[in-house]
Amino acid sequence: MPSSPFEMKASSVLQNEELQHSYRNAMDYLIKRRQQQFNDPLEWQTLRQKGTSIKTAALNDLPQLLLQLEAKLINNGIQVHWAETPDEANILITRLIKETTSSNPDLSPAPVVKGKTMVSEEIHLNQYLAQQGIPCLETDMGEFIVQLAKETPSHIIMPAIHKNKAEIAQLFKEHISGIYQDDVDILIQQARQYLRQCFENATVGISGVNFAVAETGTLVLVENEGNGRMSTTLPQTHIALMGIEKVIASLTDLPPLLSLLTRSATGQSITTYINMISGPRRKGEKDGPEKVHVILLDNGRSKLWQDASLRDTLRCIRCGACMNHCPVYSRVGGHSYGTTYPGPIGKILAPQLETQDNAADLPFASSLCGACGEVCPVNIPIPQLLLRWRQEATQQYQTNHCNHTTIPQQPTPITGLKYSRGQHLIWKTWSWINCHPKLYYFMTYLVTKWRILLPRQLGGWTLYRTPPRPASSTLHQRLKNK
Amino acid sequence: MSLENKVMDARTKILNRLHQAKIKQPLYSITDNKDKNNKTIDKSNSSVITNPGHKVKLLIEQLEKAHAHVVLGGAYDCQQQLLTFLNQQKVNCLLTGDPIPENINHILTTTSPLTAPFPRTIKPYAQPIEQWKNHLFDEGNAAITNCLAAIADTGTLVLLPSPIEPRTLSLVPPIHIVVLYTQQIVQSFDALLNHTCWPSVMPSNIVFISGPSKTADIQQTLAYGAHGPKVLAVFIIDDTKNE
Repeated sequence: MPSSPFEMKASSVLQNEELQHSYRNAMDYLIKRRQQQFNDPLEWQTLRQKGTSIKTAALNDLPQLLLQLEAKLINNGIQVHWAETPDEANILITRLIKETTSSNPDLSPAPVVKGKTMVSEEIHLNQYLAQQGIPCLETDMGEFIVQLAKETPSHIIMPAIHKNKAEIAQLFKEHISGIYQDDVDILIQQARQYLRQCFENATVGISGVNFAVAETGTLVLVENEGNGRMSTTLPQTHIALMGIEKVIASLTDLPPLLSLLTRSATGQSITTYINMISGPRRKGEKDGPEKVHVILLDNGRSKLWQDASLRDTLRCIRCGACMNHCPVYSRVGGHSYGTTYPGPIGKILAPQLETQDNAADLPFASSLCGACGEVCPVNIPIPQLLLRWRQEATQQYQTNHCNHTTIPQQPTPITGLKYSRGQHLIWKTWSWINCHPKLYYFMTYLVTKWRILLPRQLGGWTLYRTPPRPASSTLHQRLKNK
Repeated sequence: MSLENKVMDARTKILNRLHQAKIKQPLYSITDNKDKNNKTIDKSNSSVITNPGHKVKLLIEQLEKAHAHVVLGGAYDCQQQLLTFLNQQKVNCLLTGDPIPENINHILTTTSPLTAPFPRTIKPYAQPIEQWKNHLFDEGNAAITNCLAAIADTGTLVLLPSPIEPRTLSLVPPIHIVVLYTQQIVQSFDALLNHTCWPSVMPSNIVFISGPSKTADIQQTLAYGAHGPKVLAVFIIDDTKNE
């Protein structure tokens, strides 16, 4: 029977045929599109190694690159802010929005438009701003749909993947047009018209950052719709929110990383728009924001960075390929995880980035099939990291006499949360038996002789499977008798 | 404690944590990765060819795949085709940079029997956006701009917005027309970064455009004209013959 929040949500999704259908179709579509892009294994391997090296090198030099980026951005006229926690970032953003509106008293309550940014989901920015009385409008079509439905994104690239056309048509009828119609082109045009008015009047635009180039102080934003360009060009103030791991050394790092990102994410050789912002409106220019702010957010990233193996997680360029190929994600969907980032990458980010208790359950929600690791464009060893988090969660809190050298002395937020005295004892006994040959032979002898006594009901296992039955003789015995 | 202090604290705290650990992870050596025949393994074809004809062909192929309207021809051909296009799309107010770039002015004003078969206003982007919003959002149904370069591999136009041709000119009007010369075409993004046309100091904005605005956010159904231009038209003027 399902017990954890994850299991409960997952089992309800598994019984929802409509959702199963939506996810399966979407995943098949994305898998196929990616496959067409990487049909040359050698080219894929080379590009992937290039991308991995670039991100690894950038992380090796993270403190220096962040300082270089900060200096360059300031030099370009961009204001730089640092935030250690989601709260700090939210307070900062609210202050920056209020500064902009108070300097223009004739403007009615400042409409804030937002381009697609997962980091803003991570800090729950929309909820925070709403509490402050500042409405913040999502402008990416998928995010807009999700916001109308008062939900959260179920996929990091295609946020409304769990919704079908009919549901979206119903939402648009209720909120925008008043008339039900389900032609996709018309739906998009309705949203376009609606959001255009908002862009025209917006005073503050918020965006994420895909890559920040330290060498030149450039923010690189990748998109297909144009809402990102609108949000960063039309409003008076542009606030860009980025995780500290987004920094790369130089412009020459961009071609391989962009190629890996767009091909892995949506199977496109390039997206419609790549927007490189290196400053606010300069003298003589007729448009662009008067002020550009960059917020460098930590939120657990520096802790991942301090650990030699967990640091690999920070290479992530947020393409979503791991979830597209995950047999668990494609069935339980994005909302079951209860975290900002769903799927395999979410499971290894959540323990440091999220405050939810179920972060400790998630590393176990994997069949360890390895697909996520194989498709990762920057070679993050996701299956190994899942095992690492399992160890972290099941080890006894604050015992340092563990033999595994990879486990740091400092406990993580999930250390020991899944520790069970019974399980611990079973494994101890198991290892003790395996370390003593005579005892081992005696035990295997007993198991083969008394195999008939094995219970027929073995908890969750026998719910869907026949109980396993030991062989009548061990392999050792059989070889001896040969 | 004031907020400023708190924020300064965040910076110090984050950097301190990053300065604490001295772990360096090993990097792949990329040079080792060649196949047995020592073949080059770059899909971008950069090393394969520099045949200008091939680049043009590839660029057109990629742009058309992305649903762009592409015309290739001599200066006069392109001019004629542009007029036909403007008529077909029923463009009655065309936005341009200000002052109108010389080459575009030449294309638009040279008299020909086909000029102005229906009334058409040409409106240069004369004022800052704050005073120009209604022209941009309501009046102009197309805009015409130059570009810095084009990347053949991915079918990408590289735009360098400037005081003359602002950022929004290529973004807000529903139709975006780009004038490109065959000599501006480079093979790859890598090649572009090493090209003489790439600015030595980054301007406030550079945009790569590879098709009309689009989305597949509703049930993976591709729809054009999400937020930016619904139509992207590229007129490639062949300037190699003149040499």
